[in-house]
Amino acid sequence: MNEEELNLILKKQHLTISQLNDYINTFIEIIIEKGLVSKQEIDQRFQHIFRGTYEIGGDIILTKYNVEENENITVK
Amino acid sequence: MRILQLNKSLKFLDDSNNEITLKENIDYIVPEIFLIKINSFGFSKHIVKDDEFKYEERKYKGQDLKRKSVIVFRNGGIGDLMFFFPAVAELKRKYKNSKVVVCCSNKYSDLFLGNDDFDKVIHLPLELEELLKYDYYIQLQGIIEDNKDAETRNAYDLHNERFYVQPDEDNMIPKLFPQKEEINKVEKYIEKDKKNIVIAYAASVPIRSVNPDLYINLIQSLNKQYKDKFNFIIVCTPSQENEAKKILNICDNLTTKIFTGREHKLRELIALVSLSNCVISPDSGLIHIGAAFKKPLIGIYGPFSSMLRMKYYRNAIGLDSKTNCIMGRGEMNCCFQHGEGSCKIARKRAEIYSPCMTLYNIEELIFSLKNLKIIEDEIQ
Repeated sequence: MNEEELNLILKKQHLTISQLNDYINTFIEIIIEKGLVSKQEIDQRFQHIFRGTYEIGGDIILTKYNVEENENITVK
Repeated sequence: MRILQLNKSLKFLDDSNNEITLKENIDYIVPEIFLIKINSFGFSKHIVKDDEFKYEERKYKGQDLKRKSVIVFRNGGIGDLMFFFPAVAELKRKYKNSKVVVCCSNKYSDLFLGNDDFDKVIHLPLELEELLKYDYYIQLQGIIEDNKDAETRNAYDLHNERFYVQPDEDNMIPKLFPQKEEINKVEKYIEKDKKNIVIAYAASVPIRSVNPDLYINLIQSLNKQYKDKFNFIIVCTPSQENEAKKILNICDNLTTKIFTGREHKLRELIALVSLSNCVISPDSGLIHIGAAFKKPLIGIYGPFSSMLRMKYYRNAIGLDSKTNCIMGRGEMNCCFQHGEGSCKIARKRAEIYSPCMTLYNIEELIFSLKNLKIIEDEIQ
């Protein structure tokens, strides 16, 4: 997407969700191609938008708080 | 905050389910949310005064409190009130002749019983005339709810700053003082030859609660693996009682008891925790009560990080789910929603519990219990 195409989009009076999805996908393809971000990162962070779901995944982090030892220890 | 006067009395429940009575022809200091509520009741025609609360000259800004008085006001839950206990204790250490008065919801005023740091406790709503009796005021409304800093800084640090004190780390834990008669009332829940684990059935709102199935699985697993070694006490509010009792039908009711707010007062809950060996809870008052007695704690967090609440607690483990949630931001990708009823994403998924709170399983709880030495090698 070059500047001219972007200006055309910005001149539109209305953008359908489908068009928006296409433009975002085009933008993402470009930034992945340019190596600015990995496909895996995009999938993980934005999958609910592109797949139309609200799948949420993540890690559990355990932190031990014990001021007597004056530090927080991540145990897992 | 606003100064509000009505020409007709009004009684309603605030967002924390506290009953608020605004009497006619009296000036009250109220949070702005009250105005929205009053308007929603169609009561706006009875508002005869709605002024901005200023009195900047009486706002406490670290002045010398020798022989001076200060009123602290906060409309919040158990944790919200306990967050300023260390700051008030430090203020009293610094200014021995000062007077500290707290104004809070009637529902939680028993938290201050036996605590000499507080000279007087009065109930919300706060009358302007009452506030003007004191040299200074410290207003804590919104210190967590409407404060961007609360997304990165521990709640105790925020409160200490508002009081212009910095207690040392040994004094960063709130103190509670259960009375003998309260202990006598709850001793029946405790089994001396077992490890007594107090579990909060839920936080005050679904967004911060875990699915109780997690507790059921934990109780069943520990009962199977370590027979007769544990006694579980599930703490619930009157409205949660029917649901909580279902746990008894599934788990062995010889090892599991329900401690309900319908039968017991806040003071008795404090006494119960003081007698226990461990507390497991999502972000709720129970975590902070457990911390006051330096009990081994397991805090289960999602919408915001355990560090924001538990950083100064001893022998405590915070469980945090770091997710890819669209609502998240910051280092832990949290949404920082805590006052709202339920998670927006959960609603879209037609579920009750926040997705970030459903990622937990019993392995993490058992790992934590072992780390805290509640599960000990010799009883395996």
